[in-house]
Amino acid sequence: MSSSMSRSGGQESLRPRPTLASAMRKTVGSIPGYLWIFIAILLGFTVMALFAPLFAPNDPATQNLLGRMKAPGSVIRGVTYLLGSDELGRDVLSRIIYGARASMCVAVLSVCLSGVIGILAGLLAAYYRGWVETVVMRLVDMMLSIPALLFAVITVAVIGPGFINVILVLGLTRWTRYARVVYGQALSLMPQPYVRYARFVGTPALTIMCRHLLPNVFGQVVVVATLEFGSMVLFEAGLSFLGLGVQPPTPSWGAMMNVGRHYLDTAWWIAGFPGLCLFLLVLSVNIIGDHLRDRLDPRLR
Amino acid sequence: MSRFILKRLWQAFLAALGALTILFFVQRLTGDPTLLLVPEGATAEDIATLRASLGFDQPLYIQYLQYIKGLGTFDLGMSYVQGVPVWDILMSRLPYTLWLTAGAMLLSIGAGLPIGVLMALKRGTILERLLQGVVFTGQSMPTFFSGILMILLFAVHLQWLPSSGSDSVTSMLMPSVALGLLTLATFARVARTAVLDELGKDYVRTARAKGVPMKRIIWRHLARNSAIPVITVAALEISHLLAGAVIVETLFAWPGLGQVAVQAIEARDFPIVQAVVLFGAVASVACNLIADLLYGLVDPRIRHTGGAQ
Repeated sequence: MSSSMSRSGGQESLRPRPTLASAMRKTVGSIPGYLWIFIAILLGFTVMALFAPLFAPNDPATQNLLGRMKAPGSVIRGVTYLLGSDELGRDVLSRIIYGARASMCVAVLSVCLSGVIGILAGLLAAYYRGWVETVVMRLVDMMLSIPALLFAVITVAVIGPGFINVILVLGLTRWTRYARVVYGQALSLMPQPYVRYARFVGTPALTIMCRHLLPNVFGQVVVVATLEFGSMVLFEAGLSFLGLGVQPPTPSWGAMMNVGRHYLDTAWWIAGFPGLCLFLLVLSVNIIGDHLRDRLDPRLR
Repeated sequence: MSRFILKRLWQAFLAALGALTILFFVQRLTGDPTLLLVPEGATAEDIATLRASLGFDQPLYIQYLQYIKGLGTFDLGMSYVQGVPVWDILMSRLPYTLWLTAGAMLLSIGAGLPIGVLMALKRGTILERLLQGVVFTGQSMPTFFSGILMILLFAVHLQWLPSSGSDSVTSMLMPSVALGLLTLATFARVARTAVLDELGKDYVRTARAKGVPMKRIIWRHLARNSAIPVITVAALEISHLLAGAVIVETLFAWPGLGQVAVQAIEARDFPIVQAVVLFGAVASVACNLIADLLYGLVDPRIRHTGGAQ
């Protein structure tokens, strides 16, 4: 008995224990080449959003009424407008860089909020079953039957537009997808021996949920969160496009496009460049999310 | 079969009621919906009068019952700004949104399904990669960006199509394409997965071994067996299209429900906003119901066992 144990222990020690660094190397090595482009785009926008004041060549709010709607590359009184100027003579490039802040910030915070609510709801429903399950899952069904954008529109119309309100609305209306995924997965884990043992020895419910259930559903949560991040960016832009999102003078891509659409025949760059950034950001997130799903979703293996 | 239909009808009724209930409470998030209805600069007296006349001073459960009763009799209230019943406004704008949605649906099914089937059949080729690019583009393109690009190209540059309005059939083209692009991508993805799933099954191999031409296998066997996921997605997508119409109609000045809702928000004409969202919720429940009933028609296995899932 003891010899077999020591032998197996000896065998294990022959193989180097996987360290965090080697695991990282392995993960990074398995990322296909094309994906790096999209990871770079996503990182680029993130860095741009974080350090907007360092990157923006001009102040995003400074108006220059003599330099209104100048084409990309124009130089007015020593100020270069690389991507042109808008209807008030503000630098489009600087506004895009600061606009990335609004997009990313709303998306990250609303993904976190909806993720926490959804995970909690899903775990509670799967763990306690009974009336908790009925209430949570029926609520999910009902909320999913209201078209998402309309739901967001009416809620913002009630509580008013603005940065915090948009995050709250998106967070409180979009938790349902996490709840469904977590619930489904956690429910299938409940009869597992390790969960049953933990319950048998009297482990507190919260500990079981956090230590035993959550780590096993986390892969799928990450996939949902990535794809939701793309949706949130689009929702924020859509609400801002309708005038219900982040309010001026804070720059936001959706709001820039809303203004720019009135000048399409004379100054296409006002709406064109923010639109392009929005497209690139969402495209990158979607492609990365798709890749993650292929790797992390156990149903697809 | 009839028991199945009755059960589904009951479930759909509950889902719609639930959605309406959620919307009722959302409107009371700020505590007093009267404040949403009054024009800016109203006096405290005006507000109190309106609150009493609309019954907002009643207990919440009485308000709720009144609200459900009103909906049951198709009474959506009066437009605060225009002074006409909201129902009339809804009905006058509805055809435009339905046309737009139908156009987008036609495009996305007409192009999305063939793209998806082609991607499945030509798996691993350059063609699949190219189509995959098209699908990802459609999936990530915000409707207002594709709309703006189209306006730039076809209205401003080439001057082939009108950039806004609803005067002719040609003015429907760009809004439909902008609205349908995302749905097209979704259909292509679903069709691809559905066909790939079916391709690996025994009956397809048997048919091929018997020498049945590929074309016939696709139409006779694959199409029918892949229909279920496609129908499910179609039902879901109709509600997405209705929601997407809010943005597309604003961009193209298309006089449908979405445009009227956005204008109503700006004018603080809340009954209209509420009515449009209610319509969206009820329509999406109805579409899911129809999809469930269609399953039975398409797939005899579901008909005989008495229920999906």
